[in-house]
Amino acid sequence: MNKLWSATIWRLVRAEMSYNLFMHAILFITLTFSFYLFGGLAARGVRDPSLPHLLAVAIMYFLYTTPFAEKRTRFMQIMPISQRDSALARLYSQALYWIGALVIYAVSLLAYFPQDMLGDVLWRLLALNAFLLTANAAFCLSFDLWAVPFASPFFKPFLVSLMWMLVLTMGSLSYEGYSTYLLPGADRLFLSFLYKSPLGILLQHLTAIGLSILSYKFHMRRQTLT
Amino acid sequence: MPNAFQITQLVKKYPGFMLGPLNLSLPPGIVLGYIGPNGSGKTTTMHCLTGLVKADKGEMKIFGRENHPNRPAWKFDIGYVGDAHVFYERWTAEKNLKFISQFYPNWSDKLAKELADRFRLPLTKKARELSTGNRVKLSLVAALSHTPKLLLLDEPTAGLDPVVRAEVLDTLFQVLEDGERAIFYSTHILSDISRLADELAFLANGQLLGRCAKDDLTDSWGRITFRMRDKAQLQQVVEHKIEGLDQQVVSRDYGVTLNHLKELGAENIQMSRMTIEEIAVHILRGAGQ
Repeated sequence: MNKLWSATIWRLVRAEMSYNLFMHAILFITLTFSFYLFGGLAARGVRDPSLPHLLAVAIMYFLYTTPFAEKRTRFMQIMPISQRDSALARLYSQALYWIGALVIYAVSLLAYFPQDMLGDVLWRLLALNAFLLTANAAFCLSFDLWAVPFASPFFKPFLVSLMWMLVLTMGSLSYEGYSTYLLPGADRLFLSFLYKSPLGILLQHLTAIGLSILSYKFHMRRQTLT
Repeated sequence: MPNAFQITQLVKKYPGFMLGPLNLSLPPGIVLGYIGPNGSGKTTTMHCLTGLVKADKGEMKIFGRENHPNRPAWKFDIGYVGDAHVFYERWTAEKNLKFISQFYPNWSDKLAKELADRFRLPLTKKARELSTGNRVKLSLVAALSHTPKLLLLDEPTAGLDPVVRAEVLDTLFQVLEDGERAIFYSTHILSDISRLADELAFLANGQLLGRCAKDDLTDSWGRITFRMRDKAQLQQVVEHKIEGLDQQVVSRDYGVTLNHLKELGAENIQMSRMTIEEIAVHILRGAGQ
């Protein structure tokens, strides 16, 4: 049965939500603090205060999703849970971190750009959304690529590094100050298309969805879940 | 009733190691000790059987059902404890058990509580605060509380100090002696399982060396000392030591060897029984030579 949701998946995702509730609360407080801390930078002319949030999101992924992605996947394999359900539960649970990050980032953006909701807030939020979805899939895919038997141990680090370079470049380019500093005018036009046009945002989301499907497929073909 | 498990032509390759082709089955209610040195393929067999690792070739059935990764109903009948004990670390032992219980229709909270009491497991402690011994106990309680018909134990006491290991095994064996279930227990420490096992299977370098009833081994293997001028080629002998006229052999069928010695005119023949540990060492050493 090709169900995308089931009682088993819900039990797994609910456990993840409940398990990390306290840590999420701590993270929210920390981010709020950093929001005020880095607010000083914004006041001095640094327009985009999103860097600490992106950093926090990256740390959050590594701290909280790694044990789930790997150790607890093994735990689940012993229980009567299908590989398919555990793969979907992993994707969904990590997507919860993405929702949390979006909420926090939205609050920050609304505070800094209250005068330009559609121009700055909406596009930045959508760009971040695409970035997080892509990073989420890339995160899952890294573990799955690592476990595939057909790639050589020399090729795997290269492949995973390449993927992360692309993902992080995409993330850093959405950070406006950085991209303006790095890229000439023509490329900034491309960025404007990518980050501030409906088609560009759509393309980014399709990339994220494509990577997510790839991650799921790889997970289902893994030789080992340990 | 189908076998508790049936492994047919299992092959799993890793760089520099190949398990199989392996054929092994376990009838219901039998305790099979799976004995082999480190790196012989015991854990790989367990992982293939439990679906933690995908086999390259072969078929595995649990109570007649294929161990399919996306049709997990076969897991209702098994309890598994491996060398790694992974839990939600910030949850208490009790909450971890509650989480696991959701996935087993046969789970009994009463049994879980009883087992925790017998193991003296502190249920209110968080998993990350549990000692290694208590983590093993928690894994055992989790594996037993849905009354599985097949228990797969893969060196569950690995990493424990001798005192805690003895305590865990003592309680585990008391619990297991009560029930009628098939048990597949892999270890390289034979004394861990010799008390409980009905049969023993020996594995070395990914190959099954043999399998027999534990009592048959102790009944047939023996150490014989005798006095004889020459060194003879004796039947069924796996080890032969000579010190002057005194000789000592280890025989896998001492009845045959004794008769042969009498025919050859050996003097001062004395026979002593061997422990199951001594026999296992000889079997596995033979595979290494």
